[in-house]
Amino acid sequence: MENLQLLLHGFEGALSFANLTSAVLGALLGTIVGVLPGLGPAATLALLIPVAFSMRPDTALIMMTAVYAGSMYGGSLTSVLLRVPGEAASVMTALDGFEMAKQGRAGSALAISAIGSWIGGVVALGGIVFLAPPLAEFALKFGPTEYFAVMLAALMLSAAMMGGSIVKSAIAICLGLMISTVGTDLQTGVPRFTMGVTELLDGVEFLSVIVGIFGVGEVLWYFREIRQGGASAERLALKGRLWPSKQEFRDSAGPIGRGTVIGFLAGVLPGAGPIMASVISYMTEKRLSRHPERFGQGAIEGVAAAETSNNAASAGAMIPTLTLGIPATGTTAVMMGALMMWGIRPGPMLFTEQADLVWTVLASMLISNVILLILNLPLIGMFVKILDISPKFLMPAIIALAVVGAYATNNSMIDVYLVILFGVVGYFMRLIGLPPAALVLALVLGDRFEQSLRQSMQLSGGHPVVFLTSPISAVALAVGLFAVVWDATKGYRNKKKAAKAAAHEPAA
Amino acid sequence: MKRAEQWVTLALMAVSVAYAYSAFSIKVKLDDAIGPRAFPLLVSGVMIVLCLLNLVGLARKSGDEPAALGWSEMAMTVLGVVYCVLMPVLGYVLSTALFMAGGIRVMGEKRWPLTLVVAVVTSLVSWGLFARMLGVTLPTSPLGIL
Repeated sequence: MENLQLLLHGFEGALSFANLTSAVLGALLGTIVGVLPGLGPAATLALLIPVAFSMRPDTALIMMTAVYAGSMYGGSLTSVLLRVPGEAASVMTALDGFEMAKQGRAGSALAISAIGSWIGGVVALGGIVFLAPPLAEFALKFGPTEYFAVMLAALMLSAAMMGGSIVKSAIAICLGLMISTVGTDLQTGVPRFTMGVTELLDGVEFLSVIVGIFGVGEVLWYFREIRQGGASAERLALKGRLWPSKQEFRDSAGPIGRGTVIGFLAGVLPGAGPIMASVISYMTEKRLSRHPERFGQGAIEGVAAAETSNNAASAGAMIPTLTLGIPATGTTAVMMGALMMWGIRPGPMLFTEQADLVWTVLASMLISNVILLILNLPLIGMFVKILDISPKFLMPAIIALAVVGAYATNNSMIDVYLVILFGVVGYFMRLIGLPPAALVLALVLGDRFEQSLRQSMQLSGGHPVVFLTSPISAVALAVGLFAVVWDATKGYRNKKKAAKAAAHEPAA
Repeated sequence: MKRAEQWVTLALMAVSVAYAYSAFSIKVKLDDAIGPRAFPLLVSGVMIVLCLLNLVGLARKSGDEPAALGWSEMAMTVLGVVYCVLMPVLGYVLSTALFMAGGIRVMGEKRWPLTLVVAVVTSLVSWGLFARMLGVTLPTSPLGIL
């Protein structure tokens, strides 16, 4: 009950005029930028961080949570109308959403995603309110050894679950860790990898990296997609009714309920929370359905399941981010980077040291969900108009926005050059299939990852055995190792299964 | 794609080797159990192994047509660099307008009047939003806000 009281107190903070205005503004901006094709939630969040620079920390964070929620919603709009998912977690939404739009049911699809997202988000927030404080308390017992092991496990899980090749995810992670070591070493004060550039003594600016990789990289990548004919996808008009029918509501109730639970649980896991959540709940609905053949042909259950669970998962992903300081997804990594820019270090101490702030932010997540529901249902038509803006004007504007943002961080031109550099890096990462989210995750964790390794080695006098003798650390490492081995042997197992099936075929 | 991927992986390996080489020149004190050098060496070692694994995996795959880099990506990147160079000289508003005009042309817009109008309006609106409303300091030129 104490938590509820704290949350109520948080509402008092969140409902002040300035905070409420920034939540509305954030939700609007988040949706608008999120609707731009190709810009997923991580990119949206990164590009809009500078907008909140001059605000007080609590107001700024409220704005960022609203932007986060808005960008998720904007992503579902492009999935449905353009079949361009802004991020991997909306791929499942596009499957049936786009088919529904083709049948003139885009309004129903969008309304059900708004409603499903809302329910998923709100219920998952309830979960955070009750789960996060005890988890934070548990994590207070962590020493550097446990921290290192948990972070290593989180990175291993992400490598295994980001989809695609585990080697490539791991390369992206190492690249992120390498970038994080640039600058003055925190323990000894020696400069590392600065190449004589004074500005790099403070490290590579996080915002430049994310804005470069997600923003500029995406623009450069867009050229390639046009050449290959991928980006000129047909755009469907928003026609027909804007509200689901009674039958559609009835069909969606189950998927929304189950999607919420699946989403929340998957979201708490590090790695690919929302992606896994949307895939699992989509598959679950398909299996439970009496008409599984309708899936992929415009089944509203598919849209409801995917959108509810990915939203519940992204709320759930705030649990490890806030309590352990370990973000579960690329988007929450960006969110955590934003928190750190305002001098807030997520981790177990956060709930005791800055309790007011945390509860205000949690309350405002709830409020932004409500704002989105109120704003988005009537404003769908306006958001769709944004899709009419020609990419010819949008793409250069995105680069300009990225440049302004990076400059505004430290008023330093080095940060701006870094944006272009990381834009090129982002382009090549996409070219060879390295997941940018994995790099960002490693970059956010990098410093603490290294420090906790060194501290635990100092405490143990240089014996790596400590990682196995501490039970928490041993369990974490075992889980991480299992995920890696499981994924690495996937090809082998599939081959075996195929061989088995082939052997059975003639007999059957 | 295969050829491109091999080159990028090789480039990543080269970066890791250079990084490891530079890690050796980090000053370490003897009393540290594990100093500022160990972690970078560890990471670059893992990175090199991963790149090798990727190259081995690629060698087994059959290659398809090499992916050419388009001129438009390169043009946009060059424009971006020029934008950065010009910004401290010309100030935010002017350099942004120039960059936008160039960028819109690279994107394939042929109409000059439209290009210029959009470029100038974007530059002024973003300046108003960031510098005036949000209080962000942006580079100015000797000509004032222009």
